[in-house]
Amino acid sequence: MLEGNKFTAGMSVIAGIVGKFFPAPLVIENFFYYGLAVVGAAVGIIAANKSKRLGAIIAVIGIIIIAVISGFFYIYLLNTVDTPEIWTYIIEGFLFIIFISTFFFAARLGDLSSK
Amino acid sequence: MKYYITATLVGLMYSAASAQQSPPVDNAPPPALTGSVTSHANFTFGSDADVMADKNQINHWVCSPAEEGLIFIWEKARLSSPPFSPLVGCQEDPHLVKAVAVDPDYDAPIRYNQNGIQKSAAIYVPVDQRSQTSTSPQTSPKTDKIQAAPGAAEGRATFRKTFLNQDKQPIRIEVTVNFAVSDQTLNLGLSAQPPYIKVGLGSLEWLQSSRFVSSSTAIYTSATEQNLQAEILPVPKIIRDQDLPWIPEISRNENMLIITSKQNEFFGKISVNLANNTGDNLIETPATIFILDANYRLIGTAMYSAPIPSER
Repeated sequence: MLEGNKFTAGMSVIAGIVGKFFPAPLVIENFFYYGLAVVGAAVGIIAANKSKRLGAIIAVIGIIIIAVISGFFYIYLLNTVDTPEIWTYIIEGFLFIIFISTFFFAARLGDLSSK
Repeated sequence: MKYYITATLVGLMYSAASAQQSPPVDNAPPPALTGSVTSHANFTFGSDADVMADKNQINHWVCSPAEEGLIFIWEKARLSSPPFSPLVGCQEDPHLVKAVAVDPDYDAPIRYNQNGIQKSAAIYVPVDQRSQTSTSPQTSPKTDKIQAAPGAAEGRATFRKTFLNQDKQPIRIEVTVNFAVSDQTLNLGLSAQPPYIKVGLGSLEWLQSSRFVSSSTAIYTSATEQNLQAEILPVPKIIRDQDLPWIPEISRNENMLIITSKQNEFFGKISVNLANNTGDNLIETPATIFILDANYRLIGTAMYSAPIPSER
């Protein structure tokens, strides 16, 4: 059973660390940090509200897999495509939203399971 | 035959691009401040000041042999190369200045590649004559001059860059701006190649102020007579949202004089009569040149010394 308060606090700390040190494309960092991250948060919370009956184990495994995959490909694109085109930014934006949403999905799920 | 002509044209464009890959030569002291990057990207960069008997010049440059192009922003040098016009040769901005500050700015990093790697760099800075009467964050600590150029306000700036266009073809552009004051008339000479580009000049919005010019519409009518079109608009109204972050931060909220050619060549001299002895009281300040393509996409930015009224 997920324990709500601790889990939420833990995810908030992780999200804070990720937000502080996770890189974003040159000169549009703020668009990612303060624009797409908010979208990711909303997506994560809405998704959690719609799937509150998800089993704890399945939720944790799903969150980790999605976070690792989206985070890996986001970092991969960011570091291997030196001269991006518009499609690069679009894919990165999508992956970034998914990545951020997993944290808020987990946090919200933790809240719901503790009630 | 058609393929032969196309291949020849492409070859000529490539040779024009490769001819631009050598860093500029240091003509006079002080020595150029240069550096290079070989990991994650391959380019050289430098800032050179040439202090001579009759003129002083500063040039910031970045040269990259990378075929896929280099994106970078050199904030304090006001030099930038956005992702939709990546650099495939050299980008430089030799421009005359009244005086060069004794101490270079050693805190002028370049950020490059999509992941924003930072490289330490230093630049020579002009003495901002405006800072002698007010505080300017960029140059206030550096008030000593190496040498001041004598004479009335006159200047020249050149912007050169070879970049990849949307079709991945290397395009070389060169823009030259001259200005001189004679008999209370400011003459602004402009030439640009290719002629379809748009040239934006920062810090010249005073040219439509009746406080400083005899007619607030003179800049527009003079441009029209030269088959040019002049507009003075805020930078955010001209520059597309996705290009705005590639504008040096200090220039994002200013007005720019944007000049466009209405014919197949971009060449002309715009003359504006000055009012109230403004011509005798012009000083020079570091400003930004904005180069845009026909669709208002940002090709790059650079620095030049703009003439402004001292009491502006």
